[in-house]
Amino acid sequence: MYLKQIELNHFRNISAENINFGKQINIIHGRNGQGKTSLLEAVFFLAITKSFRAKSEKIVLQHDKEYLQIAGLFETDKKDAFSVRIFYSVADGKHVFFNQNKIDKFSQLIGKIPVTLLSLEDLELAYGVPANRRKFIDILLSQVSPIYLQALQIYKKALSHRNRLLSLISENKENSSILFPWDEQLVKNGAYIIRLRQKFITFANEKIGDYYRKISFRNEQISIKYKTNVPFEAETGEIENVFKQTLFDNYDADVQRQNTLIGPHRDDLVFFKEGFPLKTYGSQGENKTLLIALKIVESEYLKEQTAENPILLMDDIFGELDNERINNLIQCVIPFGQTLITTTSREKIKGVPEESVRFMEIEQGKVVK
Amino acid sequence: MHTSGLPVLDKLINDFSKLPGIGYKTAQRLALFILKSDSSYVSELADALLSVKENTRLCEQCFNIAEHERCSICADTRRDAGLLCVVEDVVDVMAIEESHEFRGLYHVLGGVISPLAGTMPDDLHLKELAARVQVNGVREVLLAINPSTEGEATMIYISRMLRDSDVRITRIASGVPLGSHLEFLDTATIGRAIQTRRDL
Repeated sequence: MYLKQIELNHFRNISAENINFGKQINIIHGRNGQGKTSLLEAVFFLAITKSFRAKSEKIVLQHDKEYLQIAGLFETDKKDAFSVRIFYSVADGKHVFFNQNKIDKFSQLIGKIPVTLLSLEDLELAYGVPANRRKFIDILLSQVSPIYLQALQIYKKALSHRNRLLSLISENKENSSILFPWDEQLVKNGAYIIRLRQKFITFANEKIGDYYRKISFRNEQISIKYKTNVPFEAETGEIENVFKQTLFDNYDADVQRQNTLIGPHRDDLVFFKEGFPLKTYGSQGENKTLLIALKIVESEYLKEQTAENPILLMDDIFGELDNERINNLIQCVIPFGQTLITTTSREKIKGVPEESVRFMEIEQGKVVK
Repeated sequence: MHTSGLPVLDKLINDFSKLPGIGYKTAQRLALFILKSDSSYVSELADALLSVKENTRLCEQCFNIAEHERCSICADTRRDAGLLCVVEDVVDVMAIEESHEFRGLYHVLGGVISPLAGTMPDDLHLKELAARVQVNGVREVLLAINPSTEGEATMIYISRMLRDSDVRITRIASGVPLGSHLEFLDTATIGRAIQTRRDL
């Protein structure tokens, strides 16, 4: 996927700007607070219809303005052109347009523009809370499969209903015999979720070590484990019956906690280096390298599953990396097509083939060169 | 909020704006229309409003809207009493009736199971459904419930409830709408249509 041009109005500190991007690597540089990350945020917004850091559209609306607009011109790897426009106003809410046509369900857009984002907040991924790791894998798989997104939505809804019933049961206002319609939907959709997550982890384990070694120059074994409390047999792939039985076995504990303790909403990803969990033993640098490797694997998975190169967004991640690692990293991402990288210092990027890089400097919400 | 300066008119506007789909502007227009209309039309309208409340009730068999103990569908002896179509609401009966495709009887649940909204199985006409299936020689129960998470839960509940009876339980198909083009459909709908494909 290639984002040719983006037009922004009243988005964060960008009043009105029209920016053309290069087909491969785009380095957006400038001092802090000039709008570099906002630019990446806008690209992410076009693809996912949401910001990766603001909880509501109001926050990304420029101060004192009535509306904001983000419009992008894209070209697929097969050279089909299309446009996406997002319009938000305080009075009228958010509207999404695909080729000028209004989209009723935002979920219809997800997956059309595959994107992977790597930002400083992600650096916590390996050692932060499990919810972040689930969010990571859920965003990825929702882009790969709209059925995954649907299964996830149904699962979450069924879970809320079930938890409500658990509260009522613990207060003796209902009994366990009315749980089964929700359990059945948890099992059916939850099994689908676990299966797709597992499939990605299998893919990632084949690739992540190579990228890690390419960036770090260290010969270390890296692996990821999908940690689930649904103890299914990997060989048979049978999840449904095990999940159903585990839910049943855990019933008393669920009622006591008024919360469902079993299922993919409690699962986690664990990263290992040389067989030891990175969460406890990894250094900052190792975490960063692992994360970059994981994001490249994510891009490769998106490419394989959607037959389209994703747009890679890398937000100010060069901080602690030396020039050699930065170079290795850039070499790794070149085959994936378009990449947008923000950095405070242009000097960090050296020795990259000139024909594949476009530099742009941003100052006070304006591209200055 | 808004005021026209005439309390009687304000009251009417306010009452109109409680109707579904009616905002303040439309309510104002309706009220002014009433104000300017002939008295005979207005009293006819008022009678119609009262009459619909006073002279209707729920059908004792299927909980559709009825003028008598049984609704016009249940009372129609030409309809197939061996085939029951289960729907959420009266409006769904109307929608299906307009298609003229279904010649059986209905059973209106009055909603779907939704613990978050406080609707439990006992709040719906589910026991009555189980009783009907047992006595009336019903051959098939067709579930025409919206495929939301709550709708699915309700269908799962009903199929378990009727598991031991001899009736065939079916559900309406979901997938590609008539007259639409595959390329414009969302992928989840196409996915569902493929999952529930059938032989030709």
